[in-house]
Amino acid sequence: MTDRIDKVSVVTDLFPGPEQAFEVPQGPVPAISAESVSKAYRLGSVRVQALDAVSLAVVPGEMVCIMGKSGSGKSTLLRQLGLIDLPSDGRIHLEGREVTRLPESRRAALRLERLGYVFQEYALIASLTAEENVYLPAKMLGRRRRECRVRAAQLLEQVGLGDRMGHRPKELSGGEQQRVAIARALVNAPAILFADEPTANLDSISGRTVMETLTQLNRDLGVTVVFVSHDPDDRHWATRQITLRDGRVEGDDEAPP
Amino acid sequence: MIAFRRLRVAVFLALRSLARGNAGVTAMSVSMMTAVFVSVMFLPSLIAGATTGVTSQLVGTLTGDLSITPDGQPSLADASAYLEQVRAAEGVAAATGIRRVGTQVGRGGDTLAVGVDAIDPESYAEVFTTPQHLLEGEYLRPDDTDGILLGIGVAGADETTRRTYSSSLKTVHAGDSVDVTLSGGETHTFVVRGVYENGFPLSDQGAFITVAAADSRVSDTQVSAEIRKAFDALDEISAAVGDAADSAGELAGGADALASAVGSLDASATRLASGAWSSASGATDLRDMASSLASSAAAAARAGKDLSRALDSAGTSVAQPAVAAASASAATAGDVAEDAAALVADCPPAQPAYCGSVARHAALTQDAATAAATSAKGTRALADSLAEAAVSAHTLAGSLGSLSAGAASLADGAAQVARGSTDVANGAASLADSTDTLLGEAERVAAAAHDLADALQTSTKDSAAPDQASRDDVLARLDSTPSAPSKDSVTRIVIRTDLVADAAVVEDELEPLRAGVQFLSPADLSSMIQDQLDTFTLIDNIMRVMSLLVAAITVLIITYVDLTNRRRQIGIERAIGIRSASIVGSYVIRSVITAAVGTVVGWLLFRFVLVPVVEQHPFQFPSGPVVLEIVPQVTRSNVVILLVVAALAALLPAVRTVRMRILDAIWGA
Repeated sequence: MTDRIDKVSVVTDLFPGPEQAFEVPQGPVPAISAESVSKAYRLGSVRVQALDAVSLAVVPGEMVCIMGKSGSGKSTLLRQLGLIDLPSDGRIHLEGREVTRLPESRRAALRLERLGYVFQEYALIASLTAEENVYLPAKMLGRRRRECRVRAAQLLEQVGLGDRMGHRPKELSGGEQQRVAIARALVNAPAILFADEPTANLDSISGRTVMETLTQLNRDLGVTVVFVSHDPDDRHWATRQITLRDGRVEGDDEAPP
Repeated sequence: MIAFRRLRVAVFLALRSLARGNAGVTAMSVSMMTAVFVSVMFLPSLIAGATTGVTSQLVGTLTGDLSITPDGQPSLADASAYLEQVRAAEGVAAATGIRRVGTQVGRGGDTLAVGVDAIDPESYAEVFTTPQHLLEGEYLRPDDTDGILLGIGVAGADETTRRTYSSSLKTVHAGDSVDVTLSGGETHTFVVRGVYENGFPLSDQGAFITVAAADSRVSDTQVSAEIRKAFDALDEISAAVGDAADSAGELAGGADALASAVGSLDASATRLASGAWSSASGATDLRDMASSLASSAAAAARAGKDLSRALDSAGTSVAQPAVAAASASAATAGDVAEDAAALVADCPPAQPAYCGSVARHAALTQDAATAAATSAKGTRALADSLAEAAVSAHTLAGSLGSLSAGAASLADGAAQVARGSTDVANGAASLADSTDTLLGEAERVAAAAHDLADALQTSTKDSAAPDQASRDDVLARLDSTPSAPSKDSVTRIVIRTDLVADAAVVEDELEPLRAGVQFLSPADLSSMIQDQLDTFTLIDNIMRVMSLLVAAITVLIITYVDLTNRRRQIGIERAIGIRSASIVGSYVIRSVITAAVGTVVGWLLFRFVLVPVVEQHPFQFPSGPVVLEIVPQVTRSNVVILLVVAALAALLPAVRTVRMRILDAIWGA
């Protein structure tokens, strides 16, 4: 419990307050790492090797773009890293701890406390306002209502939606919804923010705004971001680019500044 | 703590979903729950209403809060004193005595079997509500000695719409006269003072006169009539016993005659037995004679046969050769004679001597031929006779055979007769024995019949009714007694308790008065509608299960459809770490809240719409009008059951959905 609170306090730093005592995990410990992760599944009678012994490590503060063509396994990789799916083989470490063998309830707790996830499609709860959508994970974590609301307000301000807090998802544009989703993903101060083709369903202007938001969070606040894209133009948002091809890592480059 | 967090999120999601979800679906769910709640409330309330209705009618018009009836006797004597004691008891608000005095009310040709009760109008009105339910006319006054109060079920009062009308006197109104047959059998005329209607068929079938009216009629005359009837009955019994004694005398005579007849029978049987024995020995002699006759006949037959055979062989061995020889010699003689005749004819006339000799010779030859022919003829006749004799001998032999057979069967017959005669003799002997026994029995019967006749004679003397003088004495004393026992007696006493007093408590209070009486509370009586209520309860249970099933299935479908539509959203909620318990909980809570709202609406609808409407237009039951009565306990259990059903119906599909893999829920089929 104390451990968890300490981790949470990492992000309270993002929103200046009285509580400043924290420790940022430094040095060699990656935020998340994959060690020979494979994923195979059956599509009818065909066995598909979606991931084939993928190994990688993401250092805190990075903004990683996973690129690849359709079917290259990039979304599958993100789901393994995001603890939404279990790899067929290999191991994943989250902040140095192995998480592949944990039961679903523990993994759910980790998703809630340590990971943020932004989906390709609009993934907000229709009956909740933008503000409520954002603070729902904090509420799940046992935060008090007031605390929840303050944090949601700060985050929505951060993503440029300070004036849309009371709006329901259907009253927001696609880009705005994605930014609410980003705010929600950040509410419990995750170690990593995952985004699965966050701009795929958006027009270019909205998409640009979303990517700018992510970049800004990474650059200004040090949020570790791993996002998936099939659009080669998106690589310039990232500090590092991992290219997948047929379930294998084809390239791993520091992106040009 | 963790459970509380999950619950908090579940409540949060449920409330937001209810507030901002599909209002139409929510309204439909609430309406359905309202309908189910009303339907599960209806029958229990109806049953409660029926029970209360019957009980209050019973208490108000028939049984009071407590009835006291004499135990083992038709009535309770010294009622006024007893009633005073009852009234003095704690918790007794009022008490009245009721005496059943009549059995029949009639007018014109119509009569109706009705219990006519004598009441004290004042105390009756304190205990019962009947006096407040007058349809026409007025209530009885205590000093009214020829007025009667009739129930609508008796009078009819031209109220053709009443269910009891057809079985009533139909057209009797206040002011009319009716004939009342009292328990003594006398009929008196009363004037109808009023007609009441309680709306309760059991008590609307009543007729009341005052105690004063009953006492003025049902008095000494009735009692002395009863005594006279008793005397008459005694006489009848005595006469009957006399008749019986006479009959027994006759019976004894008959038995004697029977005994003597049996005696003669016995003598005859004895004679018959000895006769049978002599005839049996005669038959044996006859049999022996027949046997010897048969053997003689057989011998004769054998002799006849021998003779016949001898004659036959004689015919064959003697007569036939003799005839043949005679015929042959006759033929030879004939031939010689012809030769001689030829010689004669050829004889030359020139030799007359020779010719003469030849002629003589020829004549002699002719004579010899003739003689031979005659002899042959005689021989033939002899042979014929012999043959005839043989035939006769045959016939004789046949006859002798038949005779012999006849004699044999005669002998058999005689033998059978002899055996039969012996059997007859034996039978006759046992018959004689039986008649002996029979004679003994007949003598005993005769003796018993004599005893019976004697006994009856004696009892006839004993059972003779009191003589006329003593009877008159009894009746005179009776008539001179001013207060007959039937006065101041009651058939039952009915008590109304204080509002605060419980019937059981009053029963305890009255314990010292319990000797010789029974206490009866309305609960004992209302068991008569218990069967009906049990059936209702069964129907109620079936209806309730059906309603709850409908509710459960509806909630299940609504939740299932809702969940199917939100499968992706639930997957995302789980992906971002919302716990399954919170998600399931949100659906369960939403369903329970919907059910709770539906229940409240249903209760309001039931309490403030349905119940008042039924109060205005009660259901008409055979036991009277029935309104709905809400039983809090039933309401509570219905609410709890409905909420549990709603929770379970939402729980099942929700659990099923959160058990899916997240991937399948978000991206899957």
